[in-house]
This record gives sequence, structure tokens and C-alpha cells, in this order.
Amino acid sequence: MTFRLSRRRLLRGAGALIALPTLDAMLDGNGAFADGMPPPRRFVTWFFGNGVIRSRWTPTQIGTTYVPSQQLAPLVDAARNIDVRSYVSVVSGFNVKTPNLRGHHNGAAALLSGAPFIPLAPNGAGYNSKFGMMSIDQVAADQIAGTTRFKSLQLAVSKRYTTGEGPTLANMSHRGPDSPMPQEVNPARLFNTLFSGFTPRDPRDPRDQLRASVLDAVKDDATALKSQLGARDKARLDAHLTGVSELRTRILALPPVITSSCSVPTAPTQTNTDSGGIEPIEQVSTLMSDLLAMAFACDLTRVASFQFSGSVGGHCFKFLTPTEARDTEHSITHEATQQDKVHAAVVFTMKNFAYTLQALKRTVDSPTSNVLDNAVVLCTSDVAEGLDHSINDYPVLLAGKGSGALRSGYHFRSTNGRNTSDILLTCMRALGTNAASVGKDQGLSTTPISELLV
Amino acid sequence: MSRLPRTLALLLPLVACEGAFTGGASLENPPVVPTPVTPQPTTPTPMPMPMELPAFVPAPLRPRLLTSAQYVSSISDLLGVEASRAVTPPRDVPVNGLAVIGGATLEVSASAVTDYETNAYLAAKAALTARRATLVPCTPATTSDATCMGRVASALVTKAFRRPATQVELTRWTSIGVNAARAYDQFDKGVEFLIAGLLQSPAFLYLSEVGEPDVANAQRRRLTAWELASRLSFFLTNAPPDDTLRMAAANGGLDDEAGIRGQAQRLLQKPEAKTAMTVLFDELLELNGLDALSKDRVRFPSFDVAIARSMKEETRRGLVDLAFDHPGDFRDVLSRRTTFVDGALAQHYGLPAVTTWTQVSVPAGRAGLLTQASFLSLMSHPSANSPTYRGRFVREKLLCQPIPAPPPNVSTTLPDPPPNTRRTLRQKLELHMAAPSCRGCHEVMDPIGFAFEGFDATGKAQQLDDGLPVDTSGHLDEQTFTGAEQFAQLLRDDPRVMSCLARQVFRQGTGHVDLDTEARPLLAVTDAFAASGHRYQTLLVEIAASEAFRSGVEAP
Repeated sequence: MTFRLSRRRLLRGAGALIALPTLDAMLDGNGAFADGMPPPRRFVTWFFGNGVIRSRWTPTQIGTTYVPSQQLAPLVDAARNIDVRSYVSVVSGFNVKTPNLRGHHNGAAALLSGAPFIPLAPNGAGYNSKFGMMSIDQVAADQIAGTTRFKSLQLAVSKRYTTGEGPTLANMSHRGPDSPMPQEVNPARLFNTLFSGFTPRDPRDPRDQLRASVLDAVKDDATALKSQLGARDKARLDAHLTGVSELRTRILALPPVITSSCSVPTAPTQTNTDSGGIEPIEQVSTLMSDLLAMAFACDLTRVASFQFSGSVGGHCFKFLTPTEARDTEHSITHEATQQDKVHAAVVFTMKNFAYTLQALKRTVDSPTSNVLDNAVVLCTSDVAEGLDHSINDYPVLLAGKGSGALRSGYHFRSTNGRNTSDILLTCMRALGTNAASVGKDQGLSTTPISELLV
Repeated sequence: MSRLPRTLALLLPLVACEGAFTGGASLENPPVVPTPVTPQPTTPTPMPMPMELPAFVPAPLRPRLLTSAQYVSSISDLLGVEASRAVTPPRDVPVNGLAVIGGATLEVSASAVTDYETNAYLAAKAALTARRATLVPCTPATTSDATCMGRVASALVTKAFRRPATQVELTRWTSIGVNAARAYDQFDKGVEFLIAGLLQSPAFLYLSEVGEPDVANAQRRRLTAWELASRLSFFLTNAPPDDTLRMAAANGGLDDEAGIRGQAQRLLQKPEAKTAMTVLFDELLELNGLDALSKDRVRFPSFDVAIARSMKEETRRGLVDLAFDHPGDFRDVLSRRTTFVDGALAQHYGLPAVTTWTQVSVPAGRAGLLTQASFLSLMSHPSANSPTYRGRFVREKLLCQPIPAPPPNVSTTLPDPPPNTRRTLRQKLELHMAAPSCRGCHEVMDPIGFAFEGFDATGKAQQLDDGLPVDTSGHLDEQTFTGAEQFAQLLRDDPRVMSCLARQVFRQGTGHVDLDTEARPLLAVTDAFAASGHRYQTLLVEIAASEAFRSGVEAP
């Protein structure tokens, strides 16, 4: 049976206890959306730490005929049944315009928010920084999340991301300078978070209504405390209560509906636990990608950040063992003699990125499109090259077609060192928003890349 | 004049590298490639007199989210250990190296709110399974007996919120319990929802530090007795106030310095005081990094998860021993010739075999914390030593002197030696230091780290590097040394180290990085600490009794 129910329409009535209408009544003859709504657009920021080697990253050809470079070769891999080259646009020749006051911090904040980071180094405490403004995935989530169960997801593969230098390096997603969003690193837990709501509940069980009333009491408790606080801490508590409201809405929402494209996947047993000091990076990345694809197909969320490896992360890639000396990827990037290993690490990273794209591509979204057709995926890093902490000619990929709004399979090269924030604004436009600008200060952009918008 | 060096350490916020890239020199675009500057030796800032320190103004008071460890200990205290074992708290987001500062400055994320909810029900169920009789002190007359539910609530709310509950709060939570009990026709279900609710309340999740007007000083606020009890208790035991401390708060026992000292000294006798110390030093010394440390398996086949755990335990045991079990001069942490080893570590260090954790004399060439495998492994690469990391650790963590960022667009690579020539790591680094753009900062880090070139990246002794004898001579500012033992002694006698420690412990206790305007009370703390012969417990008591610990200003 091929049908698809508009869960979005159903979930708009979140909180109300309404009976499910007859499924057939909601389908038109072609199995398309009964209400004529196209599948929603999705946004993914896919991040890896410590940059690339540009001479092996940037394709020689400009335009539609670009041939994947050595480091982009995994985009086509017949042996693994992967072919996403036609979905990937390469963006090159762009420079980070925010001041490069600290390697890694600057690139991460600029490429994920378009704003300079805020140093936090008072009085002899070690160097720390935080984002200067909301990260781009959250800007997008505020516009396109709709009434999905999860306004956004934060995923990470390597657990060795840096936590000692503040939120800028630790987290990809930030609601604001003081609001980093923690990542889920455990696929088994992610599965439970996403799909436990599919378990049908006994309508006579008062549990969910009571949970909601508990959250109301929690909010009432907060009122007394809030009245005693200054503006800044009031805002902190408000952010907490926003989370409470979102949870309340989710508790009272109807269970998601199984359709031909949305089904509950097999529960993974993988918990991202090290074995002999080695992280199961590829296994976790694969599972996270599969779960994300299904979360999109089920419209549980429309926005995700995906931290494959951390900025200045302590991850070691297993493929360098056991015969070779193994060092953290960050430390090898700083060795001129180790650049072949850095190259191998970038290729390995792109192999995993290609899998994420393939997972979205093979997931049906509508009779005429897959999830990747309707997605915008921004793939980038925290430096252009780790060796010298450079921030010019930044490595960026834009994948997906944004439901036809994003030009794919194209290499666009700026010849005059355009602002990397222009790429973020391009994403916002490809997501169907009319954002006038992204970022701020030196990172501000008001000029999307018209060549990449259809 | 003995206080001068301490004053200097308090006021030297940054190591003086060369001027080309410190501060905001490159606020323009495109990024500035640093101009080569003639390297200059680090010149000490003229020593300010204590009277030049700014007048004391305390820090703003802000609500502080419980850290993950505090959340777990609070649940254990309220509901029993079974409930605390049922929860998986959201991970801490440290800021400035400490989870408590993240907790005092950051917003709670939506996913953390969800985690708190999940945990709350897990804890409630576990508590009801294990300790129903304690939690329900009455026999409910009906399944939704409001009187009995009220008794359950009043016992729990005051303890959960670490202050007397208001009537509004008691009514609110009692009715949550009664409604749930009625909906399920089960009294215990009501208790479950009541407990689960309290564990999600901001009054439980945050240490509310609002304060009250200070009658003696219109510019300041004082923590209320209840707030002070919590601050004191979490500082010294990383757990909520016990009954005695709550009694003291209720009876004015924390209204004067003597009362606070007495309670602090009492709390330090509790076993949780050792846990609190461990939690702090796990962060200060970055020992948590050992939980996920990988080493090159070809070069270091004996390094594994188990030995990394033992390394962490060795350091923890040494600290607790000197602070609590056999209190002594805490500076000896840096220079002691004994340590604690288990079987695996004894083998690692080449010591006679032991079967259980044993205090032993360290092998020749070792002395103190910085010659332990924990530090040496953490401050290394997976396959090689890093004198730079080791030196930076000493500057940033032990001397409170942050190192500026490396300049942008400069290759940090070490030059290759000519073919068929051997070079020790030190020789490569020295070539590196010849580059003017690198020299300024590396000059203040690497010559410290060279002290430890007699140890490899897992802390085993090494005599050779790339086949050449290692050279362990170096210098800290103007003082020269050869080898880790000499360096350890030098550092032990450097008053900046204990002054830096005092600042970091103060940060842990108060949830903020000390302000310039807190330098005066901190100097007094440091002096009292020194006068006690550097007893760690005295440091804790002096911080707790300090005006800076008890007062604040309204946050903007």
C-alpha cells in the first residue's frame, strides 16, 4: 500500500485529543499529499574539525563539469553504492571576514553563525570563547521548523570534541552566546528520543496529561524566582522555560504516523562506546545518518547539526592503525611531514559525508522526490587548513537541491574573496526564507550567491 | 615584603609574549600576518603594592545550575542512592575550565530539559521502590488522601529547594500529588508525580543566589543564610546542606564568621569533602581527559583504558592524602617523593610489584604531581611528547598565566632535519623557536616543558630521544634548572603557584572567575593559607569565611 498522510496537518492540532480521521479520506488518487503541500525543506550543517588540504580539495574545473578532487572522490563510490556528485555544489574562493584572533575559534563561529566569536578570558583563566550570536541552523529552525516534534537535532559522532575552550569549540548549535546546545553522541539513545513517541498508548492512561500538569507547576515555581532576577538571568530562565513548553507540546502531540516513507527503523544497539581507546566513528556516523534520514522522512524535525569530528578534537582515525603511528587528527594537521595522513583523514571524513548524503538520497520523501532533493546541507570546517590556521579560500560544500531552489552539482568559485557568510545567506534563501541578512559585524552578509540560487 | 610575589601573581593576567599578536591588534580584515618582531625576554611587570589593589567590590549574584555531580548528589541526598543511580544527568558545559562557571552563566538547552524530565521519573520510581516507607510517613486514609500527601510534600519540598517552602509551593506540589493519585486511584502514583515534579523545578535545579540587602553596606548584598548554607555545602562537599547545616542556617548559626568557620571545619570532616576535592582537581588538572585518552599502540603497546584509569586514581589519591588523610604542606604536591601505585602502575614505573594500592617511594628522577604518568600522558601527543603542552599547563593551570593564541596564517610545523640527521624533539623545537613569530610565546612554554624530556608520552622514563641523549635543562622566567626534580622544587617554592590555586578554588566555590576587585580578600586568603603552612583545608575554610564568598552585588 502506498500512501502518505499529512502528519503536519494533524500535528498542527497538537495538544487537542482528536480522533484520527479515516486515512483514505486524506489521500488523493495519486498518493500525493492530499492537501497539496510539498514536502518541507530541511537544513543540515555537517561539520568536521581541522580543515582540509586545499590543493587536494578544490576541483580544477569550474561549473557543472567539475570533476571531484582527490579529497572529494568519495562522493562517487560504486563499490559502496554511493553517487551523490550531482547533488553537491563546491563553493571555493570565499574568505572568513571576521578577525582571526584565535585559530579554530574564528572559523567555527564565522562558518556556523556569520558573526565574530566573543573571547572569554578574564583574569588568568584559560582561553575560552563563545559564539557571538545564534548559529545558522537555529536561525533556520526558527523559520522552518513548523510544528515538528523536535525543533532541531544536535548530533555528534566523535566524542573527543574540545570542551576546555568554551562553547565555541565544544558545540555547533547555539541559541545565543550563552546557549550552546549539547549534542547526542549515542545512536541507541537518539533512536529512543526520536521514535519512542511512535509506541501507541492506552488512551485511558492519564500519564501524559499529568506530565503536562507537572510542567505547568514547574513553570509556576519559576515565576517566584524570576521576579528576583536581573534581565540577563531572567532571559536564562526564560530559555529554560521555553524548553519546558516545547517538551509539554511534544508530550501532548499525537503520535507520529507510519507511512510508506516514514517507518520506525530497527533499534540500534550501538552506544558509541570506545573499544581499546578507539571510537567506533564510521559505525556511529552511518547509524546517525540513517536515523537522521528517517527523522526527516517522518517529519520529526527539519533541522539538524551533525558534528562529525570536533574542532581541535582529540579524535584519532582508526584507519591509521595498527601499522602506522597514530596521532590525533588535530596534532597531525600541524606537522608538514604528516600531510599525507591529514589527506587520508579528510578523505575518510568525506567518505562519511557522502554516506550521510546517500542516506538522505535513498529515503523517499514524496512520489517524485527523495529527502536530499528537499534538503540543504552545508558542509564545512573550523579552519581552511589546519597546518597554518588559515581562513581564506575556505572549504565549503553545499549539497541537496532545496526543493529545486539550490543549484546542485556545480563548482562556484569566487575570484574576489567573497565573504563566507554569503554562503550562509544562500542556504537561508534556498530554504525558502526571505532572510535579508545573516551574521554581523565583519561577518555580516546581505548578498547571497545568485549563481547558486535557482 | 613577603606578600609581594603573591600580589604580582594576582595581577599578571597574561604572559607577556611579544606585542605583535596579543590583544586585539588584528581587528581588521583581511587577517594580519604578524610582523616579525625582535624577540624580547619576558620582563616582569613592576610589582604593585597591596594598597594599589582596587577597593573590594564583590561579584554579581546569579542563579547557578547544579553541575551533573551536584545534581546526582542532590538526588541521592533527597531520595537515596537508588534514585541517584537511576539518573543520567545532562553533560556539563564547562566555561573557563569549570563546570560550575558554565552552570552560572549558560542557558539550559531544550535537550537538557528533556533529560531532566526523563531522569525525574526514573528517580521517582527507583526511590518509591527502594524507600517507600521513608518517603511516605503516614498511612493514606484514601488513595488520594490530601493530608498525607501534604506531609509527604512538606518533608520533600523544603529539602529539595534547600530552604523553607512557601505555602504556595506546598499547596502546588501537594495538589500535583493528589491529582495524580486520584487519576490513577493509587496514592503512590501521586507521590511519583510529586517527586518527579520537584526534581524539575528551577528551585531544585538552580542554586538561587539572590541575596538580601546588607545592612552594613548599602552597595552590597549578602547571601541569605539558606543561600550561604548551600554555597558552603556544595563548595566543601559537592552536596546539599546536611541537617546540622540547615539547623545552623535556620538558627542564625551562619550569621557571623565564627559560625561559618565552625560549619566549614565540620563539613571538611565528612567523606564527601574528599569527593568535592576530587571533582575540583579532575577539572583543574584536566584528569577527566584520561577517560578518553588514546596513545599510539605501536609505540606504547602497554597503554590502555585500564592504566589510564589507574593514572587518574594515582593523582587523586596523592591529593586527598596530603589534604585530608595526612594533612601537610600542600606545596609538597609538587615535590613529594612518594606516590600511590597499583600493580599496573608499579610495572609502568618500573617499581617492585604490588598487589593493591600502596604508597611507595618514587623512582629517582621523579618528584611530585608533574612527574606522575597522568600529567605526562595528558600533556603529550598520542605518539610523542609535547614540551609545549607541558609548559603551557604549568603557565595556565599552575601559574594562572594564559598563553595568547598562535598567530594566524603561520605554519606551526617543525622544520625537517636534513636527511640522515638525528634530532631530539627538543632540538626540533629549538629550531622552531628561532622563528620570530613563534619565539615570543614558545619561549615561555617550551623551556619549562623541557624539564620533562626524561619521560615519554605515557610517563615512562626515557634516556634517549631519536637515539640521542635527552637534555632536561630549562628555565622558568629567570630561574634555571636541570631535570624534573629541580624544576619541581623550584615550582614548589614559587609563591605564585599557591596564589593561583587559591584563585581557582575560589572560582569553584563561587561559580565565577575572580574579579580584579576581589584581589584584596583573595590576598588575605592566600596569606592565611601560607601562614597555616599551606594546609589545603585551611585554604577552603579561609575562602568560605571570606567576605567575597558571602557577599555580592545585584546582577544586571
